Amino acid sequence: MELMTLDRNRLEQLRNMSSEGHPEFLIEMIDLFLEEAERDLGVLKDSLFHHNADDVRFEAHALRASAMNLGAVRLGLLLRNLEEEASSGDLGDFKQIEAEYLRVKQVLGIERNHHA
Amino acid sequence: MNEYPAVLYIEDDPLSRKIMEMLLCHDLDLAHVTMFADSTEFSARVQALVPKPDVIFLDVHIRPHTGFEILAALRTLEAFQRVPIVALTASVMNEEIQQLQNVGFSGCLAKPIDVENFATLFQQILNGESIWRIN
Repeated sequence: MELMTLDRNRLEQLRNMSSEGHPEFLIEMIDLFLEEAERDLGVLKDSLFHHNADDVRFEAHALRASAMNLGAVRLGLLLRNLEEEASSGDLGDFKQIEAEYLRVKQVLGIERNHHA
Repeated sequence: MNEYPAVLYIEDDPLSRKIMEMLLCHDLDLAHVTMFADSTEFSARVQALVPKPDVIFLDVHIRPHTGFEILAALRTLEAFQRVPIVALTASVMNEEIQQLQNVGFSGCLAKPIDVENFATLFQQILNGESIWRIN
């Protein structure tokens, strides 16, 4: 079964937390994720370019934690694969991750506008 | 155990901290919640906390000192030998989970944090139960 870009159940859980008196919560989570992810992707690309396996592993893990918090399961899987194969990771892997991130960003943008 | 438990969360992922803040400070209405965004000079910072944490949640993959190093250092301190220290990890590797158990973590919660069941799990941890919730 193909993984979804966003796990709707996870998003629903966060939406419920927002609805319990903190309407800004989901929007803040989305904004925080996009901000973190842009920075983490830059560091990850740099680490791959320099073949620094320890940093690749660390950054892939960090970005995966952020992504999974918002239910970005396919992005999380790509990052997990890179984390496990950090020493052989290359910029081809990064292009896949970046493409999936852009899909996540688009869907979250729609969600954000709907929720705002 | 204090009726109003103090909690420390050491975590470098800001989204996880934000979720935990919502769960602990708003949903559970706890007054004594401290978060460290990195593990720099953690030992001095932890020992300076008033009140002393009743529970510590610890991200395993954190820098400059890993969760394993933090646990080992805190367990050498008399005041923290019996405080529940619960690992939080996004790892799904069985070897790491086994390692968490071997080195003496009190339990483990998987990331992303299970927001629907957190309150129950938290109460179980306060009651001294050893919780190993792996996704």
